[in-house]
Amino acid sequence: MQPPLTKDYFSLFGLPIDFHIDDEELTARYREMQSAVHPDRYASAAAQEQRISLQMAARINEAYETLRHPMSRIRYMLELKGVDPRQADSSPDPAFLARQIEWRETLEEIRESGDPGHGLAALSEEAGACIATLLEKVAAELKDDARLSSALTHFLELQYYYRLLEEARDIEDMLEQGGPGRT
Amino acid sequence: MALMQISEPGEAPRAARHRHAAGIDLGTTNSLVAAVIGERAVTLGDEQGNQLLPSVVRYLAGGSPRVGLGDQQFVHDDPHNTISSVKRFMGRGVEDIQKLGDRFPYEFVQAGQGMPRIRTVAGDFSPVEVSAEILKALKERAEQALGGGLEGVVITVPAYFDDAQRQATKDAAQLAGLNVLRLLNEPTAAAIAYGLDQGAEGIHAIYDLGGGTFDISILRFSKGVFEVLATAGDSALGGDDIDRVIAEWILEQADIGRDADQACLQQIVHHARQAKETLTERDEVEFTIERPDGSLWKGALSRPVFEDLVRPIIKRTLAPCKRVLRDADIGVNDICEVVMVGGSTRIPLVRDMVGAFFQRQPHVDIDPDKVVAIGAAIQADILVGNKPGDDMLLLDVIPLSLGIETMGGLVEKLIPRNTTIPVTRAQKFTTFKDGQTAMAIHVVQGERELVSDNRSLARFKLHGIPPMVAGAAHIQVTFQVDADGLLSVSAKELSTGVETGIVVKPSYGLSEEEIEHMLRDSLTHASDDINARRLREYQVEAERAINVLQVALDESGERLLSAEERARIDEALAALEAVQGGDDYLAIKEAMAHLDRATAEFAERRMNASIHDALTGHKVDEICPD
Repeated sequence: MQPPLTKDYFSLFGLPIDFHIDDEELTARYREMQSAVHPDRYASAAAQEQRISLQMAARINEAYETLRHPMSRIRYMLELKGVDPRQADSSPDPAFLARQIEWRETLEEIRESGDPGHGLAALSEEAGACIATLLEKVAAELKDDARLSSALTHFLELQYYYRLLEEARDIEDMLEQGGPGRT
Repeated sequence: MALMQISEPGEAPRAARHRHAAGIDLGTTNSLVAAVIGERAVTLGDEQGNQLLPSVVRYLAGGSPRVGLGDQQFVHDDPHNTISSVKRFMGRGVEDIQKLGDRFPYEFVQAGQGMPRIRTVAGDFSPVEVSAEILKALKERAEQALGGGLEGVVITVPAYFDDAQRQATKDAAQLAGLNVLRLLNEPTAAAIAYGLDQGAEGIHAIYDLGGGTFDISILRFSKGVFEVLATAGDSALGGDDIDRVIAEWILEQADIGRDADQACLQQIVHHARQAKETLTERDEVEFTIERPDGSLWKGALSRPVFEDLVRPIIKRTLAPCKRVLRDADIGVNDICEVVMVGGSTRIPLVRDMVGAFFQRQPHVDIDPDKVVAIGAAIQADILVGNKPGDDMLLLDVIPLSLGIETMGGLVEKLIPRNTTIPVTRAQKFTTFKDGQTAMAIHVVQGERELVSDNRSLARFKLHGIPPMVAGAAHIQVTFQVDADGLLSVSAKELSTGVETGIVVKPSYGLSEEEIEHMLRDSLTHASDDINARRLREYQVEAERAINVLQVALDESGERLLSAEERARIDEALAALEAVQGGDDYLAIKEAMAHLDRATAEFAERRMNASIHDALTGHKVDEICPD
């Protein structure tokens, strides 16, 4: 049995290395494992067990946190393949760049108009659809070592869309000031 | 749970005796202690049946300090020596205390950097020592009620407490001679008490407005798992602020100058607090106040005027409420219940405003004063090992981001707020000068971009870096936040594997030497000197290690160890047993360290096996999804 502290995050949870993860299964396994090793289970144990429990629980938290979000999962899978997304120098697609500028202008207009109206919802929906398509592409590309560079390009595009969604959310919050969060 | 059964040799592990444990709510205004007796968690009262112990410590010129009820009046009569709301000073520097906005009647003494001390007739005391007096009183109360010494306690802290405030709380417990099983966040403690009581499933908001602190936590209860999704708050906002605005209103109405003497000001704050309490049930409260010149002022405060005064304070709690929803990535409609905790939630306007924000009637039918201590007692009972079969799991988060100072006074975040604890993050650093052997790391906590806008936690100095050309050394620094929310740091040079030494200088905390010194000072009996105490601690820890190991060896020694490995462990075990009963604590320490090294691999394998069992114990289709 390979020690959990050195296993990759997928193997730690007994899962195959694949972008597609059953969230409920991941969560269920995470809870089972934390139930076994969490420091609360060792609060009255010897110092050595407390130390190991702390290390393992931290490792399991880190693994869960990484795998449960699609972006950190992709980043991690790229890293497992030896690709460091921070040192990427892939040049973005010009069409994509043009589209970026367009979206940014739309966001600015909505911000200035002060009325989220349909513009914001439509934009968020479109970004959401692009994210879904790109995630499927990346999932396939990650299975094929020859296509890692396009996986990386798509990963960087995804980062952009997620940021866009985040900004749209900020504007929505700002415009409905006083209202509690998103409902 | 299998690993934590501790039993005498020959005794069945399951027949473990009941261990005394307690939950402590160390509050700004009042403190409580609770314990599980029989099947129920109850708060423990004093001889008169008072459950709340006022968090007030009065120092006397001769003799030991007095804690609690009988001393509240001295807040007015002897303000310089009677310390209240000390929780507000925990883990803080003098300049933070000045920023709190109150004028305190105490004289703060700042000895260099770090934690300030309060000057009293009995000497200068740090907030940690004052808190330790309150904890000692609670400890005594619990030991009397339970009929024996406490093996461990759970102490609650505001979820929004930073590392320095948490460490200060733990230090206070150590001074009071308490074994801290866990520091538990107050709203989480309330959720345990409430959730177990109601059997509630779903997402809950816990709104906790106490005497000096405010927390809002979002938790999900699901099948015995309490998962904190996000927490936010203000560790310097509470009922004390409400008292202050009323007191200021009185000063203005009665035309009393702000330069009035301390006793007069304290008396007015006292009236303000009573007025606040009265107005939870009545629509008006009347005052008769004696001015410094002896003349009387008579006046009345109506509820509408009171509400206008306190509305801005309550409004300040709503911004964190909003942020916590966003951090938890939910909307108000996802919340099934809002639970109110803390004495200040008795104010009708608090309930109205919180209800309006969350768009539902808040839950107020549990005693907001007791629920935190009750939850802590339930958790203490589990952690001390009285419920071996219990599978409740608590997953809490770090309330504020942890980061380090980088070039230009900027913060690089290492662990973002609301990350589930325990957590470790490693960060690599390199040297920028040839032959550089030391390096300083400044750790801060908070959400802002600039170092100066965040809380400084500590400066770590790494030394013993092997001398190399600039940029050749790669030092990996590991930041670890444990289940108490406390940070520790370790460092290693990667190319040589050298563990670098670390000197920690807490910004507002106590160094280990200071604690040791205080411990020594607090031990009054001649027989109870620091060495005797240390020896006892090592003997107990050695006994525990031996018992745990014997159970572990019986259970899985055969399965997980080769004959050779087993022989090495047996030898180390025999060596510890040989010195364990003796009076040489250094020999015990050495033998324990030896046993620790000999068994590290075995302990890790056992824990791996328990993870393996957890995953294979259920077929996948048996694992219930959310």
